[in-house]
Amino acid sequence: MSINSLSPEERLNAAIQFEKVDRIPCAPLIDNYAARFANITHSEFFFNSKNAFNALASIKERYPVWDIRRSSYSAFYGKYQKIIGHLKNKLPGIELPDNNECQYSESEVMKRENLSIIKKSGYEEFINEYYHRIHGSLKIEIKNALSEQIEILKNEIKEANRCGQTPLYGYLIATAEEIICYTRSFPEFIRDIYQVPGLMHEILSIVTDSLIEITLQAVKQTGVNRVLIGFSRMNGQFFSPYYFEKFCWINLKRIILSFIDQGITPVIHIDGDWTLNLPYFRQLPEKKMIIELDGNTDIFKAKKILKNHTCLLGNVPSTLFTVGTPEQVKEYCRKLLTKLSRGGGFILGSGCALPYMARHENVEAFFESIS
Amino acid sequence: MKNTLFSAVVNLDERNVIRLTKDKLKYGQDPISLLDEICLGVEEIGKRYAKGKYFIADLIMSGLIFKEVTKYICFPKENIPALNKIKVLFATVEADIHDVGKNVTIDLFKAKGINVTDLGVDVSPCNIAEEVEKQNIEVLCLSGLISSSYNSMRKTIKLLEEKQLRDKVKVIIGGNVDENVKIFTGADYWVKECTHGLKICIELAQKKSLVKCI
Repeated sequence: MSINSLSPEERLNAAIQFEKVDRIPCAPLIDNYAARFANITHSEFFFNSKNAFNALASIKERYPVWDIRRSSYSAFYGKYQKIIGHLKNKLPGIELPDNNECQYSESEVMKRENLSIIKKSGYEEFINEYYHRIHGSLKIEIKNALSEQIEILKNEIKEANRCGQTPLYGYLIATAEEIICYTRSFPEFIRDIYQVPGLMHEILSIVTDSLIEITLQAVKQTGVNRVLIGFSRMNGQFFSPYYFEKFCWINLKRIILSFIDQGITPVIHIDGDWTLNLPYFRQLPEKKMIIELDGNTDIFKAKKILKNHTCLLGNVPSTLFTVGTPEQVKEYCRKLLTKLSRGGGFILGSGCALPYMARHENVEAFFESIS
Repeated sequence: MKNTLFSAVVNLDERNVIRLTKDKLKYGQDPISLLDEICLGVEEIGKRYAKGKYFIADLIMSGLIFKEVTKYICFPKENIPALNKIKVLFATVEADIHDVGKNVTIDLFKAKGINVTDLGVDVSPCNIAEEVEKQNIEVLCLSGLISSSYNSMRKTIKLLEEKQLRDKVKVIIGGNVDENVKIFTGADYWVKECTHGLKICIELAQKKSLVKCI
């Protein structure tokens, strides 16, 4: 098969299905770095989608091998971070200098007794109350921001196609436990699941139902049947298999199966060390999803565990981009390409976000490794 | 396991720990021996973690219980157990406000009886160096999640060198860090997990004979 004989969409689907590819698809999560590359400020990037899309297009122009637009821009778009941002934040151009990175802080905003809102009035009421407490958001502002979020995503999908890329995400969600964890804080969330497991089980199930419904509607609007499911905390690095199964896997499995049933490809973004939990994914249908790994899970072990089952995306560590050398980046990419591409099911990417402070020569080395 | 304070701690049963503590104080138990009993429970949790039977969430929960129960135990400052004598300073470095990992780690340190000063988030190199000097800090834990935090860590450590404090303090960096970041910043250790930081700190304390036993 000659290089570039497949379109980016065909190449991506071939990778998911462990079929032969003309070359390895390339999907860095590059939003944080894009402003610096394009020589605009971070605030100009995050508050103006036109600037952002131009910046991303300039990266694509410089590095044509970048074929998979893996972007979380719509989720972190500046204008509504103060309305529907999952965490209290400080943003460049508002509380921070124009070129600083966005920052997030977490505290116990919702009390344990507030979880009953979910049981009585549903997830939407609960999350609206949470946004109101951290941002002062009104219901109408939340509704408008959520609509605008879909519009931004639709525009980015169009823009990706215009640049000759295929978009990876048709919508982006966090899991139920991740969202509840943000609202309660990590330590209090742990206290909850240890002390009121019945309540937590019930509310996480309700939130999961809502997330499935919201996602199915959103995907219909964006027209891209792939959904990012992002989470980081409920893994074997922190929790025993008992808690993982009871509070995470039960809901995650349900979300994934619902999406697959609807013809949607789940793209599971897992931060932290998931080595212990990876075998669970073998319970799911094979060649139907992607798992994105950051630098904390050993991707080579992951390949062994999920061989011929699930496509892996990753995982050049953010630290390597920032303080490593081009030689180190090339060497790591070479290792990934040599050891993971055999037999299919691999997409080269950054482990989580390619950082704002990444050295340009390291980014170049990353793209060159594909060339 | 008997329904003792020790077993309540090991079972991470917060309500029972507090109930038993209040009862024992009411019946005149010495606060120091009570604290010892709780610390033994926390110690057992640490042992089970080391064997892979307990997980980080269990350690965090034990930290929460310890923090809660010590609100009820008052003792004169001169009676604070000797294991508190190592001086540890925590800060999320300048230009970074992420503190979930730092706070969890501090709770764990406190549960182990280590005395910790927390400078909070977005702390300038100058403030950190001043505090290191003022308190004669022996272990400095710098936390950072975003990529710009590496420069702040590096600046902080350089300033310690300039002020001739570097030889007196061991620097542990935590967060989104690795060996490359350790080299870049000039730190002594890097950790990804709070338990690893705790282990290093205890080893340092033991080397300096700053603790009787932890």
